[in-house]
Amino acid sequence: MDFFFWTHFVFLLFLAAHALGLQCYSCDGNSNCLDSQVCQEHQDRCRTTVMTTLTQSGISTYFLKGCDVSGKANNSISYLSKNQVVFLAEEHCESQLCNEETPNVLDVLLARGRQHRPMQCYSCGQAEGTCFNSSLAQMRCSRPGEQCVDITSFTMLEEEFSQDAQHIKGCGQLAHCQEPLGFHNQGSFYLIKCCNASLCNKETEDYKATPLPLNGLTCYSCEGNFSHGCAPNDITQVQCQGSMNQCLEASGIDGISGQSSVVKGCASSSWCDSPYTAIYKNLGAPYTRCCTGELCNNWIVNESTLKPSARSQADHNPTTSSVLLSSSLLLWVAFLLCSENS
Amino acid sequence: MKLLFVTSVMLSALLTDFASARHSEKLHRQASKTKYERQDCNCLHGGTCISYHLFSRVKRCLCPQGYSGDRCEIDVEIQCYTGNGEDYRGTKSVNEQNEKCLMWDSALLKRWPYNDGIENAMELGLGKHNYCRNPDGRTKPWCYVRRGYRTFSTFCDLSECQKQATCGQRRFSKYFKIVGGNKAEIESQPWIATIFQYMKRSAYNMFLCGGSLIDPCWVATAAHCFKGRSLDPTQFTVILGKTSLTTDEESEQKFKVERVILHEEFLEEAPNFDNDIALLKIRSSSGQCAEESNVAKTICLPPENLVLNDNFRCEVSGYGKANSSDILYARILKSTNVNLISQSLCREEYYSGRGLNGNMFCAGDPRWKTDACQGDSGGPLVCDYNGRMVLYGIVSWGDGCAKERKPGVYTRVTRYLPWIASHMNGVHFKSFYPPQ
Repeated sequence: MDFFFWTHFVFLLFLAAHALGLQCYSCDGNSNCLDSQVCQEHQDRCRTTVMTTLTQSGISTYFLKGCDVSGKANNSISYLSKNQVVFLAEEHCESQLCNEETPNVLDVLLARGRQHRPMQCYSCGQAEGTCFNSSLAQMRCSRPGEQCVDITSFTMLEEEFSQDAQHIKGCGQLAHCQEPLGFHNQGSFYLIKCCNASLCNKETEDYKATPLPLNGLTCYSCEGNFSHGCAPNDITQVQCQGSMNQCLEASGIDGISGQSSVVKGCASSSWCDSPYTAIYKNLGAPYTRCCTGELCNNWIVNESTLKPSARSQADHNPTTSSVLLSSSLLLWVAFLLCSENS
Repeated sequence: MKLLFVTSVMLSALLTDFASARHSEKLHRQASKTKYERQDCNCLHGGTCISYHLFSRVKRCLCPQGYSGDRCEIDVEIQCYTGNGEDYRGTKSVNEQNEKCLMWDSALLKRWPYNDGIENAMELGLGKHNYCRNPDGRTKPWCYVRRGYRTFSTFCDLSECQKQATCGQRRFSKYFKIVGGNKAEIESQPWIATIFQYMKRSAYNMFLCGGSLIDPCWVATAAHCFKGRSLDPTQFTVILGKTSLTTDEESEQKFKVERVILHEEFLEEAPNFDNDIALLKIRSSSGQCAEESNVAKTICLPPENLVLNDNFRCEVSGYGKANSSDILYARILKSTNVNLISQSLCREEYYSGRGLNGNMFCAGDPRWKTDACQGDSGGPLVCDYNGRMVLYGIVSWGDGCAKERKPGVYTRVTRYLPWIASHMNGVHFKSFYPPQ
């Protein structure tokens, strides 16, 4: 009898855990948190984003933790902002409550002394007004494996409350960063460059004020779902710049709404199999395709042309697990009744 | 077995509830998440909110010179407190015996009523620092110190700021005219400021615009004064207490400009100037703000809901042209009376098609004899309210000067009080209003 009870109990627990899905630590503030949240169906990763600012008077750390979609990557950078050093790091993981640890900036500072050949990089921030050739500051990278980085990212849509940190130079460890990674469409522009020699990130170009020369390719451009953003009427054409000589289209799950979503534009070949479409566009489990012909990114035109990998994620909705749960319970009750009869 | 069956049914009911509760929770979370995505960082003192796209749009305040802290709430330069110092957000960190304050996040303070960990720590100014604060309404800012093995709370080595200048009061008032008018004594408009720009090519200070002293450290003026100019603050000078632009007076006070803040939505295109307002932060070479005297006083800001009646009589003053055809500015301070004009009359009759909106208002002489003119821009239009003078308008634009049916158009200051407050130290702001 006892044996039966416990097996059933364990079975019930298993069912409960299945129904609850992934849980992640969740917080947004100046102290690390132990609150957890249950992720939505389309979120199958836990994320930790940490921003640490170092001033003469002390250290301040900001934590942003929670559930996220898959397909993103771990990245970190550090740069000089006025009289502060800003460290930014983001990590993703996929098991229950796995985002407990946070990238620790103190370790990084301690590591500084032990390093054999510290890398020197130029550092600046456009928002701080320091990205001019004449006044570029230098910084020493603290982690082994760090490269000099140069990140440009801006959107044409002004955000209501904040402005993008449009251009940053500094030290960093960025995923997939060998060749320059570039993407642009009618609404946004991203270009990430990494290099491995000291002070190799000197070039100070403002890609917003002086766009890169056109390379002759034209691609379709849109962002959104099939009723808004990427509906046939929303799709425009964009002339590709610089090394962004492929047409890209990607489909996945929108990180906020959980709906199917599409992105089209020009990309460099290095961007195509990088995680940056997922990161910048908050697109979960993206399926990305790049091609080289004129206006060739035209396969995805409606829901039916979406790749199965994306759809299976979208279909994984609450009703499925409820049905599963109730049917298992019924089976279990039936099993109980049978065993009593026998 | 029966018992087990009953429990299992109960458990399954519980689980189903759980699943549905989870579903509704999800909807709720989704809503709050969207809210977060759009959230402001609430930067104070004109700090800029920047977001890092590559790092889940995590946001941070970029503070202007002189401020620090996660929300730019810490005033690095202030050396005194006002009132009981509840709003003091400076960086003093020793007590009256010159002992060092304990950090508010110190482990020693975990059991004390005030520390970094309490619920409203941010609002009370407590954080990962040891600056003096007054979170509990004592008489002045204080902090905890450690003597041996004991912790004490002690008052800080801070003194009260000089009494706030009593805004909007003057020694005497005379009504003069600007166009075709007479000289005005500076004592009648002690809040008027003159803004000069240093011209590198000809190496002299050119008179740019008028302004109004709304706080010992701040001058309000018109944004269009800076149209097409570099905003590098070092090229500007502000002088208070000037009756004539051409002569230096002993009583005048001269300031450098630390910051130039134009309204973010200032529209400089025709047919009008929308949001034509700017703030200058001033400081003398010795680090002081304006000192109150007979020729330098602050003007009150109007209460937010103040709407004065049509035909209400106000004063406008400036150093501008006496006639629109004149080439030279009058160079001496002049002042005149103008009456407020009905908004609909001005919008539909006098300036129809010019997009006159609620951010502006019109005022003029009923007989069209006097008016503000070029060179008066940025200067004050002040009105008597409860026995004090309040800054009701800023000289903005108009067709010609004193032209019939073409009154002067002014920036409606009451519309910009939150904007002004967000860029200045909100603390002092309370003392700017006239008594009710």
